[in-house]
Order: sequence, then structure tokens, then C-alpha cells
Amino acid sequence: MPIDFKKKKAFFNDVVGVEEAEGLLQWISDNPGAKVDLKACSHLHSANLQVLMACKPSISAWPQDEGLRVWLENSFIDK
Amino acid sequence: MNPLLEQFLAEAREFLQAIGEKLIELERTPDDAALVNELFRFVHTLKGNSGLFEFPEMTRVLHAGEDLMDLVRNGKMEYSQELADRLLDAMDFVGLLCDEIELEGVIKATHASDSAKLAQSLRELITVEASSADNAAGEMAVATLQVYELPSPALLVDIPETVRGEAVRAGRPLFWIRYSPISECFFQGDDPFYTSRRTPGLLWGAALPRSAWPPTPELNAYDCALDFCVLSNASQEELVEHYRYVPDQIQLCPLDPLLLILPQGNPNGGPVYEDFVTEALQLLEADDFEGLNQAAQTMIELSNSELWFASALRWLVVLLESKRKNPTAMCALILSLRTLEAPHWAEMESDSSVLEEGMEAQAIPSSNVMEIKTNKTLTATAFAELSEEEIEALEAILADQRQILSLEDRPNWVAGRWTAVAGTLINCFSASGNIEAKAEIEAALAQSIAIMDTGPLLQWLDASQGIASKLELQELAQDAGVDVEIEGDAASSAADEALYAAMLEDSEVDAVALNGAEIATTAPAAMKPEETQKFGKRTDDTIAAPKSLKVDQVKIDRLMNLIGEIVVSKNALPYLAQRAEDQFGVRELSREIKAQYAVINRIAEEMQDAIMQVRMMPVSFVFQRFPRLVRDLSRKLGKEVDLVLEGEDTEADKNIIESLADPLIHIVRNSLDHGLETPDVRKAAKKPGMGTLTIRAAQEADQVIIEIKDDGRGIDPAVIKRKAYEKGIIDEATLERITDAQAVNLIFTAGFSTAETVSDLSGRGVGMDVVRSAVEAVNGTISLDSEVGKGTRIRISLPLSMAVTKVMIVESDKQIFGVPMDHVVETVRVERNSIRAIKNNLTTVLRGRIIPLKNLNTLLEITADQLANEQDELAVLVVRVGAESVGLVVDNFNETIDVIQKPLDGVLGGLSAYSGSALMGNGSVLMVLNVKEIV
Repeated sequence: MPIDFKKKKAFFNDVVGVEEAEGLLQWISDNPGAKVDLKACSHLHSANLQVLMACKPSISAWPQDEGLRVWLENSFIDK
Repeated sequence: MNPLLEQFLAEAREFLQAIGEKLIELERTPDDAALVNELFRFVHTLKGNSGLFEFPEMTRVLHAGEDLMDLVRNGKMEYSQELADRLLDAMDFVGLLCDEIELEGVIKATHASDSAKLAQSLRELITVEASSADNAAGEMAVATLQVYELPSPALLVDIPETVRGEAVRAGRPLFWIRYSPISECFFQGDDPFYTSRRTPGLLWGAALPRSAWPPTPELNAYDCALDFCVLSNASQEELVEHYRYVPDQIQLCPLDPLLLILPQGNPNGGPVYEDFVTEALQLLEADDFEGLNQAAQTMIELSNSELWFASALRWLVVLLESKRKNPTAMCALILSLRTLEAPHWAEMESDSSVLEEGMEAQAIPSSNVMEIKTNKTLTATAFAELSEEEIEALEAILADQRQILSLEDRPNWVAGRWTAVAGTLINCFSASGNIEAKAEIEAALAQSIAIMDTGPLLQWLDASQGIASKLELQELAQDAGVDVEIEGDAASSAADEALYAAMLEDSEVDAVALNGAEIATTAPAAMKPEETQKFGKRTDDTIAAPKSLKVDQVKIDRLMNLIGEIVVSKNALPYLAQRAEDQFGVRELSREIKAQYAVINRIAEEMQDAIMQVRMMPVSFVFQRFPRLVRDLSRKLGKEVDLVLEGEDTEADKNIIESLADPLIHIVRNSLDHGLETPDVRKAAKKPGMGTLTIRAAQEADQVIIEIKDDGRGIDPAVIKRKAYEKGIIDEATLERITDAQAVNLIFTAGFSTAETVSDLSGRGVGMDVVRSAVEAVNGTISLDSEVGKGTRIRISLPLSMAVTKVMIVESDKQIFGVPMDHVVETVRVERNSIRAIKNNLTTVLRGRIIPLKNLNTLLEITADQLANEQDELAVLVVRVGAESVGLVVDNFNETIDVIQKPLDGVLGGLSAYSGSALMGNGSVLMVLNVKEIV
């Protein structure tokens, strides 16, 4: 599974495709205050990115993938 | 294979065919822009489609082809034979790949090198041609990317200082990219984030929300609301290449590195810095960069790195370490230490190119970056708007307006019409820069409406026509504002469309009146585009349902078989009626059955006809491959050939058309190889150097006639006779007796070849007899006539359809046989005493002609004699075999019926006396005689 939804945390794995976005959005709105763990994520589709940017869940772990981490940090600055 | 791939393959074939055709057409009219455009579109679509699958080999070649065609389309490159050759090769390759995909499901890896080679050969053309023709595809592609405003400093500040520092230090040209994907891009399979992440030369990037985020419940995950900002130091070409699929969503803008120098931090400070500033300025004056660097480093160590001052110093060091020094910038930066405010780089009069090696676009003072860019767009737009075409278009609009004004009718909404015309004129003229015209037009309009006459408006238009000359327009355009132009243009075209729509709908008076009223009310409001668009039909409002279906041939064949069965079972009804009458004695019922039969018969026949129509295909299916074939062969043989195709829309059954393909290719090859001479020989024979090969199709009654005619050297019957004799095809007696016309038809005999040498085109002696048997296999005939020195004509006649055969039923020795009606000439009763025997052959004289007679029983090796009727007359069925008539003596004639003839297979397949079998209405099997074989 590209995203493992646990109780209060969603774990992103490898490449998270466009089809996950709907579920992610649903999960975030169902679990306010939930956290996102991006550690194992190497890429996430723009749709997921904008869900994260819009809903601003707290990021419990940034991606190990350096390139992705920088991008995400840059993108989340504007919050 | 998944349906998508199947569809792709089917479409790809069509596209390849179309591309081939267009290329060849283009060879005749290389200047046809529409054709080039179409060609580009085909290649482009095909490439796009291939991108759906993992066929990099295919996509690569098509991509190269697309680029090439794009250049041709934009007039950057000349169409040439060389280009056509390579493109055709490339398309052949793609066709090959398609075949392979269909067979194996994948493309073998071995094709990768071929693909690369082909793509390379196409690209070679691009580089050769394009570099000579005003420099580079890249530049042209760049031109398609618009240049937009620079990023705000607020955005740039977000970029970490270290990143910016590195960027400035490297001294490479920088680009700021703002990628605003269209909101539905996710549905098109785009991942803009991925694209952005993979930007070449990426230094920094971020995603930004396009606007404030809506509350979570209203958020649509699949509606892209992100913009991507990227800082890159790749070359413009690379960036353009990277974003080549979304050029319209990209703002690519060269970034002056100085704009990145934004010191940040705590602006606390004191006079202690003043000393440094003075010292630094002195060092700068003395060009002692080394010393300045040291001094700066020392100061950095001494000060708190959080301070604005320290940040500025770090920038100074960056500037000092940059590949090329920019003293002006340094000076400004040092001076800024006094005020603790960032230098206004944008206002600085500096030669920023000092810092930016090899960055032509920025070789302008940075202060003017914005301004110049605007100017560029402006002039570009102005010139683009008034290209040759634009002027033509403008003139056309004016001419239309004049025509509208000249209309004689005076409906009650005429004022609205005039107002619309005036609106269009105003827009046209303001678009071309003549803003003053507006007042004049309005005055003329008011006058026109007042006196209810178009006079004033027409007069004004006449007077102004001179203005619309090219030169003046261009002059005017240079003064025009970009905005005015674009808006004006849109408005005028919208108004124009509206007017056309109104005029076209003249018959619907009410609707028009309504439209007119609308025009009248909206037109005074300066014809705002959004208002004018409300009326006038837009093409995308009407949803065009596809008019044709693609149906698998198997389904049609099934229909065909079913209708065949209906025909057969319907034929059983008359028997039933007969039995009702004969066995059960109920005439009433019999009559009713017959009446029902008539209805069913009619419907079945119509149905059969309809299905036939579905199966009909135009001969162009076969013809379309000839232009390419003739082109290739004639080039190979060094001959000049003009191929004339006629009657391409003649239709015939699919099977017939398909069976035609190979024989026709054979014939065309033969004509090119043996028939047509080389230009020198032709000229020596006082014929035009270019030979003509005509392929003509026409329908004659229920036959399709195909004629292949060349004006080549013709066939010499003497040579044919000699050759045929040498090869033992004819004996000496025949050699003496045979006519010239018969002789030339000897080339259809198996094993015949006149060619002295075997070439890869023809000459193996298997050609023409294969052609003949192929044609005869579908019940066609072929004949040839030729005149030495003048040319050769081959005529193929084929049945329109072979599904249903009309046969005549004859009786012989209490058995029934079918004889195809195609062969039947007539049926006669001949008195036994008018039959004479010449030697062993029976003959009779029929209307002054001697007809040889043959007993069917004898032919079928039935020992019984033929029966005569009460008047001692024998039933003679006169059939035509080839060009001769033969009388078949049978016992009796029965009716003719339509049957679906099935070929004999299995053990019966070897029986050549029968061409097939058919099921009769009463369930019995009818054997159909193969007349040619038995006689």
C-alpha cells in the first residue's frame, strides 16, 4: 500500500500515486489532528501534495529522499 | 491484448497510411501549407498515442518525425525528397513495430538501435537544415514560450541564502520557471510535481497554492490548484525541451542573478560598520578583490551571523568569488551597509552581463529587464497581428462588412445589423491602431440610422479602405497598445461570427429578428466579447455523434451467414405451399403461405442488400497503396511515371477488393518494369519523358471493371509467340494459327516470362498466371490488349459481390445440378434431327452460328443418354466459356434460384467439376457445376 493509514498517522511509502489523493483527503478530514509520516516516501503525486498543503496535517517525519524533502519544506514554508 | 492497444494499432495503421498518402501528395504540391499541417497533425497524434504505451522505440522515431514536420510547417525548413524518403522509412519502421506488437505484444529490444538510427537520420535533417535556416529549432521553440514577469522579491527571499549564493557564485544564466498546470491536468495523466522535480538544472523549487485553500470539505483533490516555482540554471533549450508538453502552462523567464542578492537578517548595527565601508570602498577602488575578500571574511567572523549586516557581507563574498567580478554590484552592496537596505538592483544601471557569462538574453541593463520584455511582447504582437495573413484577414472582414451594408433588404432589425457592422469596424480599426476611427464610425452610424440608409457608413468605409493598406497598418500597429489589440481582435471576430450566424439563419426569420434585436442592444456596449459570444452558434455547442462505427469483420461475416440461412429457409416456403396444396389439398393455406413468402422474400432481399452494402468497400482501399509503390519503384528504376487513379470510390465486396490487392500490385510492377521505358528511350520514341500509368475503376452492371493502362512500349506478339514456343507452352501448329491478340494473352499462361533477366521486381515467370488465377478465384476475368510502342491495357472484371450466386437448376439423369447464371447465355430446345455430328462432335446451328454441343451426362461420365421431351427436342443450355459458347445438352431446365455457395472442402475439395455446393430450400444439396472445368 502506498499509504498505510493507522489510527492517528498515515505512513507514506515509495511513490504515492494520484489515485490515493481522494482517500488521503477523506482520511485527513475524518481524523483531524492526524499526523503524516513521509519517511519512506520517494515521490508523491501533485494531487496528494496539494491535499497535504491544503489540510496542513503535521508532518511527523520528513522524507529521507533529500530532493523530495527540500521540495516539501520549501512548499510548506508558506503556511 | 487490451482493447486500448488494439484500438491504437488499428488507428496507427490508418495514420501511417494517411501519412504516406500526404507525403506523396506533398511531393506534387510541396507548398501546400494545409497539407503540411495535416501531415504534422497525423504524425503528432500518432506520436501522442504511442506515448500511451511503453513503446519508446516507436515514440522516439515519431517524435523526431514530429519535430521535423513542425519545422516544415513553420517554414523553417524546406520540404524535400530526402525528407520524404526518410519520413517514409520511419513510417515503414513504425508499421513494422505495429506488426510486431500485434504478433508478440511487445517490441523486441533489437529494434532500439534501428529506432535510434532512424530518429538520428531525421534529426540530422533538422540540424543541417535548421542551422542554415536562421538558426536552430531551439530558438524557434523558445519563441513559442512566452516571457512573463519576474518573481517578486518576497518569493525569492524564501529561497535559502545558501542556494541563492551558490546560484550567483556559479555565474551561470538562471531561469525562473513558474509552472501553472491547468486545473484538470491530473485527468490528463500529468504529475506537475514530478515534472517540476525533474527540471534540469534544478536549484530550488516549491509548490505554491494558486489561491487561498478552501476549507477541507470543499477541497477537490483532483482539481490542480498548485503552481510550481523552479529556479534552474539549465540552458533555455533544455528547459523548453523538458516542458515541451506544457509550453502554454509555463512562464519561463531569465533571472538576473543580482535579483537573488537579498541580504536578510536583524538590521541592528552601528557606526562600527562605517569604518569597514570606507575601507572596503578603497579596496574596491584599487581593484584589490583579494584584500576586500579578506576584510569581508574577517568582518563576517566578527559579527553575529543573524545580522542583516553579516548577510550582506556574505553576499559580498559571493560576488567576490563569482567567476566574473562585478564592481558596480559590489559597490552598491557595500554602500547598502550604511543604510542597511538592500540595493535596488532593479534600478541599478549596471552592466549585469559582467556577471552573467554567455547569457545573451540578459545582455541588457537589468533595470530594463521588465520594460524591454514588455516591449518585446508588444512589438512581437504588433507584427504578428499584422503579418501578411492578418492584413488579408482584415481586408476580408472589411469586404464582408461592405457586403452586409450593401444588402438590399430592410428588415425591422436593420439598425441592429448596422450597429454590429459599426462595432466590427471600430474593433478592426482600433485593433490596427486607428483609434480615432471610432468616433468617425459612430458618427457615420448615427447618420445611417437617422436616414435609414447605409450611405454614410459605406462612404466612410470606402474612404477608409485606402488606410487599410499594408504599410500604413504596420505603422499604426507599432503605436498600438497590446491590450487594445488583443481585445479588439477578439471582439471583432466574435462580432463577425455573430453576424455570419445571423445571416446564415436568414430563413428562420423569427430567430434572426431576435438575434438582430440582441445585436442592437449589445452592440452599443462597444461589442464586449463576452456579450457577443452569447449569440452566434459555437461549434462545440453541438455535440456531433460519430457517424460511423468500427465493426469487426467477423461480426459482419456472421450477419452474412445468418442472412444466407434466412435466404435458404425462406426458399423452403414455396415447397411447403406446394405440399399444402398437393398432399393436403388446402389451396387456401397454400395461397397464404405464398403471400407470406412474398413478404419475407422482400425483407430478406432488402436485408441481404443492406448487409452487402456494409461489406462494400471502395477500391481506394487497394488503390491507396499505389502512389507509394509507383513512387518507390520508379525512383528505383530511374523512370518518370505519372500515376493517374480514377474511380477510387467505386465499391465492391470487401473480399473481392482484398483479393484484388496482390494481382494489382503484380500488374503495376510489371507495367513499371517491362512496360514503361526510361525517359531517354521514351524521348527517342518521341513520347513525353514522363510515362503515364492509369488505374481506373468503374462499375458496369454487376461487375467492377479495373483497367490498368500504361503508355509504355507495349507487348510484341512476335516475341511472345517465340518465347511461348521456346518454352513449349504452344506447339508449332498453334504458333502458326494464333492471332496477335491471342498471343499477348499467352502471358497469363503458367511459367511464362519475357524478361531476359530476373530482377527483384519481376521476371520469374510466376507473375501473370498467378494474377489470372487470383482473379478467377473470385469469379473474375482478365484480359489484355497491347499495341507495340503505344502501350498495354489490362482489364479485370470482377463481380460486385460473391456472397450470393444466382444459379440455374438443370436436370440430368434424374439429378439436379446448378449452373451459375454468369455462364448461362440462353436455354433452347433443339430438335434432335437438327443436330449434326462433325467427326465425333455434336453441333447445331443456332441463329446462323455453329454451336458445339456436349452431353452433360458424358461430361460427368454418367452412362445414361440425355432425354428428350415429347416433341423429341433436347434441352440445350448455351453457356459461355471464355469467349466461346458451348451448348450443354441436359434433360430438363428448372428455375433459377439464389444460393449461398459454399466451397467444397475435405475429400470433395479435389473435385474440380464442381465449384461448390449449396443448400436448397427443401433441404437437399445442390451441386454447382464448374462449367469451365467440365467443358
